Amino acid sequence: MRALLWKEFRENLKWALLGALALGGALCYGLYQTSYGEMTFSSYEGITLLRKQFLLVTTFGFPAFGLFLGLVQVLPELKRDRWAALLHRPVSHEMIFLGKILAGVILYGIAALFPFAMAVWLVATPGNFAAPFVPGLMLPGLADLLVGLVYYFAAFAMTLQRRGWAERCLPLLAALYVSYFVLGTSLFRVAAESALAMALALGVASWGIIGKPESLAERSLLTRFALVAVMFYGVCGLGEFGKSLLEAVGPEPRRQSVQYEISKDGVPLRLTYLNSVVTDVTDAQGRPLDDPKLSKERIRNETSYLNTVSSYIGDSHGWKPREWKASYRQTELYLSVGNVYQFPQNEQWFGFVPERSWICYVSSQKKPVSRLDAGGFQPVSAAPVAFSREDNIEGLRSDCYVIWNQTSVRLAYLAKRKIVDLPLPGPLPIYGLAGAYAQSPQGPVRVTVFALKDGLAVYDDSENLIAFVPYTRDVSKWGRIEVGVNSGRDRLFLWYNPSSWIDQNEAKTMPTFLEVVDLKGQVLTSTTLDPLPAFPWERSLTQMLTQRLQSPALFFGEMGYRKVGAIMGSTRLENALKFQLVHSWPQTRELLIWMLGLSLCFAGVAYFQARRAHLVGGRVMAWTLFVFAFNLAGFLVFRLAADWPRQTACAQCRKPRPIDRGLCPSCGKGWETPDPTGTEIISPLPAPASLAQTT
Amino acid sequence: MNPVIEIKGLTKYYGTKEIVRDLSLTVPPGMIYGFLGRNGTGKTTTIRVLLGFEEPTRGETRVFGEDSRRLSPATRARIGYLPEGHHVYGWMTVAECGRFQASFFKSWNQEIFDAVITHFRLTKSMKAGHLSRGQCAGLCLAMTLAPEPELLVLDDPALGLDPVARRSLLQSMLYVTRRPERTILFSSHLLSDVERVADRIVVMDGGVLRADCTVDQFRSSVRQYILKFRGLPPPTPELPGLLESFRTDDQLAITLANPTADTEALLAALNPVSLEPVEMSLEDAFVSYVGERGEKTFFIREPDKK
Repeated sequence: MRALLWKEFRENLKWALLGALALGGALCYGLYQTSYGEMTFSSYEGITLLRKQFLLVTTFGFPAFGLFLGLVQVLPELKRDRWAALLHRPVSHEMIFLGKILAGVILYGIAALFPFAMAVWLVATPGNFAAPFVPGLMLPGLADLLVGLVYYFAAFAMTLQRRGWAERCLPLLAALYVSYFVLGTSLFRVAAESALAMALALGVASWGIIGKPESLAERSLLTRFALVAVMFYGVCGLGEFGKSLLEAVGPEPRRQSVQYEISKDGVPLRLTYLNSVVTDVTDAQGRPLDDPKLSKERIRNETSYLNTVSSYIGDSHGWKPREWKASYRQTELYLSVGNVYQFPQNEQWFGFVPERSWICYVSSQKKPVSRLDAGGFQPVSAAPVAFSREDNIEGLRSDCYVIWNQTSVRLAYLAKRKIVDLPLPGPLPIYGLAGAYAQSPQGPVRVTVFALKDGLAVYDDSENLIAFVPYTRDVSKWGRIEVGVNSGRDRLFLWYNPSSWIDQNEAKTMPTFLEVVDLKGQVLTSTTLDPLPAFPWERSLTQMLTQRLQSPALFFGEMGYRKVGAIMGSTRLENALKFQLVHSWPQTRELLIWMLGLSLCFAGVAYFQARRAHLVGGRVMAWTLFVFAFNLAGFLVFRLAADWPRQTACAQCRKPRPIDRGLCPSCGKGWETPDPTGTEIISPLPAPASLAQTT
Repeated sequence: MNPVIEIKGLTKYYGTKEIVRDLSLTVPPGMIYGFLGRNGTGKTTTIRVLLGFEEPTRGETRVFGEDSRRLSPATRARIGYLPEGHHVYGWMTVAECGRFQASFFKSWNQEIFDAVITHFRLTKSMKAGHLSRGQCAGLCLAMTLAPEPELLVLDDPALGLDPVARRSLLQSMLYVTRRPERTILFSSHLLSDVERVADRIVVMDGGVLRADCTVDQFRSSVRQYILKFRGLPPPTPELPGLLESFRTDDQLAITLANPTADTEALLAALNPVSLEPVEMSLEDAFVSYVGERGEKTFFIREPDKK
C-alpha cells in the first residue's frame, strides 16, 4: 500500500500543487475583489466567505478540480498494457483502488482544502476584513468541498467502466444532480449528507467496477446497488437538465390574474395581468377609466406601494407567523449586514443573528469599535448581552435602528452611540412597524408607522409624532393592515385585509377596505373592495410532464409519510394530506391516472424488452417492478444499467441468442465447435487431473 | 502433476465480434510454450483472459488451479507477466522501478534484477523515461524475473526490438529461467526465437487453435513437395491437409499438413517428372500454415498460348 501511495503522490502531486495555486488565487480574488474603493459589504453581495465571487469559485472550482484529479489519476493508467501492469501485482484490485483514492483524497485536500483553510484563516484573523467572522460562514465552502469529492469519484466511475457512453455519462449527471441539490437545499446538514452519500455511492460503485469492469453479475450486491443508485440519480440529473431545457425553450403557459392596486391619489384600481404584463386597468367596480395617466402602459408608474404594518390586531387565535430561515449559503443566516454611513467615520454594523447582538467595524481600519446589545452601546471588549427574543431590531435609516417589542420602542443612533425611548401616543401592545414611502418633486417622502392596540402612530423622518389614526374597521378580523402615504405627506392610505390567522380559503371570500385618512385621523374616502375572481393557472408543459412522469413509489411514499405524520399529530402534514385528497382531489385523481398509466406502459415495454433480451433468472420481473415503481426514470435506469447480454443469431433457429450462454434459449442448441480443416496438428498431453475432476 | 494453465472451451467476444473461439489448452509445469499466430488471431486476448484482465465470454481458464477471474494476490505473486508494451513509469529511475516492484513481492531476488539490468547495460540512476525501447524491455524483464515467478507469461517480449536487444532478451530469459519447474508461455512472431527455446508450440488461426505440438512435430507435420512437369502443371487436386500450392510454368509446389502415404500416392498420380519432399524451416512451415490457403499461380508464359 505504501508503494502505491508513493506512486500516486509522485505522479499527481504536481496537479495538486497547481490546483492549490489556481484555487488559492481564485479564492483570494473572490475575497478581495471589490467594486468599491473600500471594502464594505452588502447583504446582497454577501460577506467574506459568502461573497458571490468567492462562492462562485467554491461552487465550480472545487468540483472541477475533483473531476480533473479523478481523470488524471485514472485515464493515463487505462492504456492497455499500463493498466495490466498495474493490476498484475500481488495485491487485490480493491487495494489498488484504495491506494488511488486515499492518495487522491489527500491530494484533493492539498489542492482544495488547504487554500480554503487559508482563506478561512485570513477572514478569521482580525485586521484583514472589516467584517466579523463566525464559523457558519465556512459551511457553504465546506459543502462545496464535499461536492468536489463527489466529482472526484464520478471521474472514477465514468472512466473505469467499459460500457457505453450513456452509462459513462450517468455518474457525471448524478454528480451534477448533487450540485444542484446542494445549491438548492437550505440546510447544511442535508447538503453535506447528500454529498457524502453520493460520494460513497460512487466510491462503492467504482470499487465494484475496478474488479469487474465488464460484468455486473460478477460484482457484489452492494456495489451493484450503489451503481443502480448512481444511475438513478444520474437519470434525475438528466431529468433536471431536460426540465431546465424545456422551461427555456418550451411555450410559456397563460397565467392570468387580477388584483387591486392604489393610485398615487388613493383611488383603488383593478389591474388585470397576463404573464406579469398589465392588460387592463379599470376602477374598483370594473368600469373603464378615462384618465390617460391610468392607462395600462403607464399605470405601473402611477400606483402607490403599500407596506404591511401588522399581520393581526388583538387575539391571534394561536396563530404564529412562519419563521423564515435563510439558506446556509446566505449571509442572513449568520449575520445581518447593516448600511454604511460616513460620518463621523466610515462605519458598518453587523448583527450576530443567533447571538442577537450587533458589532460595528470601521471600514478603513478593519477593526471592531463598538457593540450594541441589550445593555446598549458597549466597548468591543465587554461581554455581549443578547437582545431578548421579543426584541425586533430594524433599520430606520442607515445610522439609526429601531429596537421594539410589544411594550416599548427605542431608537439607537449608531453614529452618536446613543439610545432614546420613543414615546407612543396610544395604548399598548405594539403589533407591528412599517415604513411608507412616496416620491415628491422635492424628494422622497417617508413616514414610520406603528400599529398599536387602537390605532396607528405615524412619525416623520425626525421621529416626531405627526398623527395618530384610530382604526375604523373590525381589526379583530381585518387586522392585516397595509399603509401608504401620498407625496404631500398629508394623506395616509390604509388597506384593511383579513388577518393572517384566518384560513386562506375563507379570506379569499372576504371583502377588504381601503380608506384615505388625513393626519387628524379623519376618513376622507372609504371603499369596500369585493373579493376578486381567481383564475385557474395554466400548467406549463414542464409541470405537466414532471407531474405525470413522477415515480409512483415516491408519490405514495410521500403520501404515506404525510399519513403517518398526521397520525402522530402533525397539523402541517395532516393539512397537506387533506389538501391532496380532499380539496384538490380531481387534480390528484387525474394525476394518479396519468402517472400509473404511464408507469404501467413503461413497465410493459421493459417486461417485453427484458424477455426478448433473455435476461436471466428473476431479473425480468425485478426490472419490470422497478420500472413500474419509478416510471420514466426507472425505465431509463433499466435501459442503461441492466446487464444486457450481447446477442448473435443462432446457427440453428436464426433467433438472437446471448453469446455468453451455452444453450440457445429458443431452440436449446449448444454452440458449434470450429469446423476441422484437416490441417490441425494436435499432439495432446495427458488429461490434467484438475480438469478431469471438474468435468 | 497439476497443470499450470488450463483453458477449457474459451470463447471471447469484443462487442459481437468473436476473437477467440472454443479454445482448449493445457500447459503442464516445466514446459516452455510458444504461442504463435498472425496479428489479431487472439493470442494477446487469450493471455489477458488467462491473467484475469478480461472476462471470458464462455468457457473457463485456470492458472495454478485458480479461476482466472478471481486470481488471488498469492497466485499473482507466482506469475510473472511481461506485457507487449514494456510499460515502465517514466518518472522513476531504474533503481526506483526495482524498489517499487519489490515492495509487492515477498520474494525478490535482487541479484537477478541486477544481473538483467547489467546485461542490458542499464545503470540504476537512469530515468526509465529516457531508456531506449530495448532497455525498457530489459528493465521490464528484470522486474518480471526478479520475483522468481513459477509461471512466466510474456506477450511478444521482443516486439519492436533490434536483433541485438532481442538476443539479449532471449539470453536473459534463458539464463534466468533455467529451472525445471518453471513454466513459460510466450507469444511471438519471431520463429527463430521460438525454435530456440520452446518445447511446444500453439498456433492460433482466426481465433481457433489449429496446432498444439512440439516444434519438431510441427515441422515434420508440415511438408512441401515440389512436383516438376514437362509442360504446364495440372491444377492442384483436392488433397487432405492442403495448405497452399504454387503453380508456375513447369512446377507445382504443394505444402501439406499431416501428409500420409496416401497423399503422396495422390501426388504421384499427377504424373510429374519428379516428386521431391522438401525440408522446411519452422518459419517456412509456420508461414505456409497460417498464410493464405489454396492455390497461387505465377506464369511467365500465357497458359493458352503455350
